[in-house]
Amino acid sequence: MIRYTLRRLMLLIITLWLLSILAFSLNYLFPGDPLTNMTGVRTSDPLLYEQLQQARGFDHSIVLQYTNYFSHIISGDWGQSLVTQRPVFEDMQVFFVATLELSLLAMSVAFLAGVPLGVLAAVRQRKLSDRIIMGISLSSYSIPVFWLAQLFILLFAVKLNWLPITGQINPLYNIDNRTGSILLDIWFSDTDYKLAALRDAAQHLVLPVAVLAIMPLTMLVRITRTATLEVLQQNYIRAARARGLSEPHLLWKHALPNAMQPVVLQLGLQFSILITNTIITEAIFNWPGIGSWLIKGIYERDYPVIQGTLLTLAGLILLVNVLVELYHAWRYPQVRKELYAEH
Amino acid sequence: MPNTKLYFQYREPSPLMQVWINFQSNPFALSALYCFGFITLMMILAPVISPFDANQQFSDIISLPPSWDDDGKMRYFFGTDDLGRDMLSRIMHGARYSLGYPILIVLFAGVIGTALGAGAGMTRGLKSSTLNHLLDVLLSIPSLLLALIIIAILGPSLENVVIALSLVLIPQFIHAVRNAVHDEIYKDYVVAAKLNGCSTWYILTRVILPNITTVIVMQTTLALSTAILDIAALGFLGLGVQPPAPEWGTMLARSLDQVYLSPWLMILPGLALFLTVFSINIIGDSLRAAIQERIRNS
Repeated sequence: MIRYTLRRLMLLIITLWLLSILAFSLNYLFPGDPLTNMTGVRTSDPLLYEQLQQARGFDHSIVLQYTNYFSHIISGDWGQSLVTQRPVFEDMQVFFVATLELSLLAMSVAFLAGVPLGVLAAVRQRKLSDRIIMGISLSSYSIPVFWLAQLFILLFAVKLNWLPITGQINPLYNIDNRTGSILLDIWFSDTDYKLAALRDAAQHLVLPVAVLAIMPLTMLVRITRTATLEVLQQNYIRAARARGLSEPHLLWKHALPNAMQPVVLQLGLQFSILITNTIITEAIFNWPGIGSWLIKGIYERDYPVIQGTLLTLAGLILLVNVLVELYHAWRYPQVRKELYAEH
Repeated sequence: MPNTKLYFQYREPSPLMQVWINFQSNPFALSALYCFGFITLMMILAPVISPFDANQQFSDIISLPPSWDDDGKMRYFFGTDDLGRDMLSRIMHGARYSLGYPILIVLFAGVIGTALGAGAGMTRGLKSSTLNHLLDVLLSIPSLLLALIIIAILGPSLENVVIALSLVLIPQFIHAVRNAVHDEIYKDYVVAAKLNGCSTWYILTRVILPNITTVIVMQTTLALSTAILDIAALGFLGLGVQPPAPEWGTMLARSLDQVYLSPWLMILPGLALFLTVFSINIIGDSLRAAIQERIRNS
């Protein structure tokens, strides 16, 4: 396990390093001056520009420029936004937490609903409830996420008037945006209307979370169903049944833990799909997260912001994938044995 | 002379025929295939059969509901939008952007990616494993994010979207084909072919390639639905095909501020997009099942 962990962590560091090279080369690929793209400082003063050039190593070779850039990235200096002139790294922290709140909520909804539905479909294989679950999951897997968002808005917000459309919370509640996560902000604020504010925030969360959760949910249902069916055919299940164990006991204690193995491995992939959808969903629901910031950055040609969001989103996905793989190898030793023929 | 059957002769259907027989036995797969064929036919014949031009405006008939509504007219079957353009014609012409371009992109990316992937799969050692890790980095970034970054470099337009999506899809093909070739190359039948003295080219095209068709077919349908969804998403975000081109995602974005008054502007293009992606996903799923069934039976 130690060997596997070290190997995975080494790979993570190497991939993050390659990512930083990609982000560095973007400075030259984006239109305009590489130095402005990197720092976000727009100046017509030749003296200031020269100082900046020296500080960033632009009078040296490209390798030194990269080392300089890398040390700036590590120390948290990600340049400043070309539009607002605010440091990218500081703004990123708030937006990052907002995105994380949305995606983690959606992922847990998908996991908590998808796995039981998948098991149910597997147990009732070829019966009506299986057909219904699989039919719905196959069709909702094909719905474009932006269309789904529009349909939900049309139905629940416009026609039925149950839920609000955009933003994190009704601005009347006057909550200070400190962490980025609206639920945490309300919890730590000192307003008198904490419960009412929480209720309002939860109502704002329902639509984006539902839209985001649908895609991973349907995938998890399908994977869980296949995995459970495969496990239920194994000999040890037949042996347990022959010993007279009850069906629920058999399912929860013997089948499900083993069926979860391929499901856990899929969580990393599902997370990257979720992040793609988060970019679109945030733009539609006007959620102040990294995704809508990236889209805004592309509209406004704000290159330091584009770079920063790319680094954060790709880094987050890489990190989650490695964590899922490590958990998978730790939880299921037979996987490690296959990898290294360990005993 | 007529073909007389003197005695019963069992003919083993060819591998392709077996896949088709398996595929045919699934009614869902067949209806999805018909649906996809219908949309493709509509796309090809759009200039001939569409009632009007995609951008022709009827300024006296603005925001007309579809024909099944009480106020609708048969002449404008799907109604008109807020500028008085016929929705049916726009959706028909839009198929070229939303389905035609993705097909071209996938064909282009598939040919290049498969060639490079097969080449990479045949090589071994440091070069191959470096490539693999590089691809892992590239693939861990979602396709839409990568396409967005390329659009940020090149600027939003139809040509740039085609370039961006091709560049994004090529690594996926390389990775899938490389891994598939890598899995096959150590198997006994390949070693046997090698011992027979077959050339590398022969081994690749005649020995390995027929055995990795499943992977290539699956990757192609997956790439097609990714390309359709991404081109529509970019259009929706205003970073892809630019209006007034009747791309379905761009039409959805335009419908955002009309949705309260004329919901059909949003529902119809979305439905077209959904049906296209849905039929491709079902075809891909059933094709994979059919190929697996053939392998199991043989």
